[in-house]
Amino acid sequence: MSVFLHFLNTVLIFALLATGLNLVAGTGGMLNLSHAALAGVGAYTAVLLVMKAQWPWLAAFLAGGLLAAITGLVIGAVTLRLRGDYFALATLGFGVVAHALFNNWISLTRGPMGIPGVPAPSLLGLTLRSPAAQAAYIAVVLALAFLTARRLARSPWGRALRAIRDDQFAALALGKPALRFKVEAITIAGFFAGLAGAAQGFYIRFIDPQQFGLNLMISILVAVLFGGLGNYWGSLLGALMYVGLQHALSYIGLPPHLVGSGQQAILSVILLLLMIFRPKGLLPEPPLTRPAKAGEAG
Amino acid sequence: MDVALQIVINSLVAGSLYSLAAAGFTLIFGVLRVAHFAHGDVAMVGAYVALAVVALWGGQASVGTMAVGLGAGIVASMAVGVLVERWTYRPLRGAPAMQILIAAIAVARLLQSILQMTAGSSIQMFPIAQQAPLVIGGARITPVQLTVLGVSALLFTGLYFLINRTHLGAQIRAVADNPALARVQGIPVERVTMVVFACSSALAAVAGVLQGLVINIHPAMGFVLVLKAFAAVVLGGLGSIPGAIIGAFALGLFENVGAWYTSGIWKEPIAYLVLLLMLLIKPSGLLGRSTGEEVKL
Repeated sequence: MSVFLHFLNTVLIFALLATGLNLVAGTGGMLNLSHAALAGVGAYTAVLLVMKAQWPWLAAFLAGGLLAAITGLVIGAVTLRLRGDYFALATLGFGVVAHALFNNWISLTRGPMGIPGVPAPSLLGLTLRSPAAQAAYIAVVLALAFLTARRLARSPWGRALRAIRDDQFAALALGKPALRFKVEAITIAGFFAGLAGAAQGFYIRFIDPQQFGLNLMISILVAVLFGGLGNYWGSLLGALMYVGLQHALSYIGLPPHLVGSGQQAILSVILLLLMIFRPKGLLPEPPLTRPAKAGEAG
Repeated sequence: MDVALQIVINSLVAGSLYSLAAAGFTLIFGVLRVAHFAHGDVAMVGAYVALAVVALWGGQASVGTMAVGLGAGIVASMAVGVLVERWTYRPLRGAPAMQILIAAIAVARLLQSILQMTAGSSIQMFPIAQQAPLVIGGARITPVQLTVLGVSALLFTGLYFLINRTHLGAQIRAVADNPALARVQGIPVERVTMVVFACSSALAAVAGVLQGLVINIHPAMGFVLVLKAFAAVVLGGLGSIPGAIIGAFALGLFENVGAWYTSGIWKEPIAYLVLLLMLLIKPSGLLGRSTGEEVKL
């Protein structure tokens, strides 16, 4: 049971990360490689506010999301001047800066030693200590994020974002302020990432810079691409499959010194094959307009 | 005064390493419009192969064994670079940039993990004898650092002649300018692309081996090196080889000045903060003309 609940919590947090990335990378077509670092910003903010400033849990949790969103906004405003793949590499640079901050701002973050003894979330006088209670609140957050992201992607705002992704100049010619839409998408996704990072910190009860590095970034990316860019059910499916795969890999019994690099090798091969043979993932992005059925009016 | 000179020397050494990687990165971007993220890991393969070859003789490396090791490393990197082009970029011709970049990241991570499994994840150096540094105007420079400066100067001279004075160079410039038009003119675009990957990978191998001589090598070095190359390329201006080289030396200078006044641990973030400032002030880079590829709104 506890194995299952751990699995469930991991999937939920992962799905939250993937949902955010999908809004940026799928609907928005921007490969924001600082998404994992934004989760780290959320985690450190929320945990430090609770532990050092004695903020109530919910306020700290939301503040984590908010600071990650603001960080996303700054990153977007600066790096979106670059074309697609150079934008991605520049955001990766931001990830490195964030990692260096977590590692070197030792008076605040304790650096590579990490912050142990993170208290369990407490809400309205209830302490969410059990994995089941944690899974319940994270599921609520995920459900809200999922509905928001899907609603946004279908809204006029989302349609404009997709138009900008598919043909920026045409969208500009139609008077859509491309940069503003893109920055907004990164900001919203940053909010989701921050919440996910904070949720992870309060779940594992320990945060360190390593958790929010390139490995996490690639894992989220694999989950989103597995499921299908622009398809939000796909991100949930991708998160489930990715975490499942990770658990499966830990059972095949690689020698200890090869576990990390072996998993990395297998994931890299999967990612490479996905890109070459099935770049759209398992579930394709839903079309913008429903094709009219025969006999249907309007 | 000697502090300033010392910073300049350190910056020149760092800039030489970065520029060798950045030149190849920008050359590949020029012909394929691809951000070759696996470039740093191609350099790493060269460095580790060179290390393995030098270790065959045991004991300390001499100039001769280092040269043989470097040769082997260059061949290995060229082979890996060309294979990455053949098996990853070629099937993805015409695919969206994001898809190609993700594939490149996957290749980079694969190379890194293979290396980690075979060579371990510890930090290694080439077994060379400690040499007394030369003192110039109060600043110190080791013979190995001098070698780095000499080798990169030599290679850039060679690269200049290759690009600007040979038939092959003219073909490369034609492909970079307009691949479709180059094909119409009868230029074998695919073969030129392969040659560009081979040359760039050879330069990367030299960067990797030189890094092993003056600093160290480890399985994560590819990631660090390619981000440095990228930062240098953006600093100098996309797609311009002189820009990439100037950007690399500027990056080395910023890093070393920053590291001197703060502390070594902030060296990496300083590089990206400089990049960020550059993007804010002049997104097309120091030498770059606006290509219309970066979006200004």
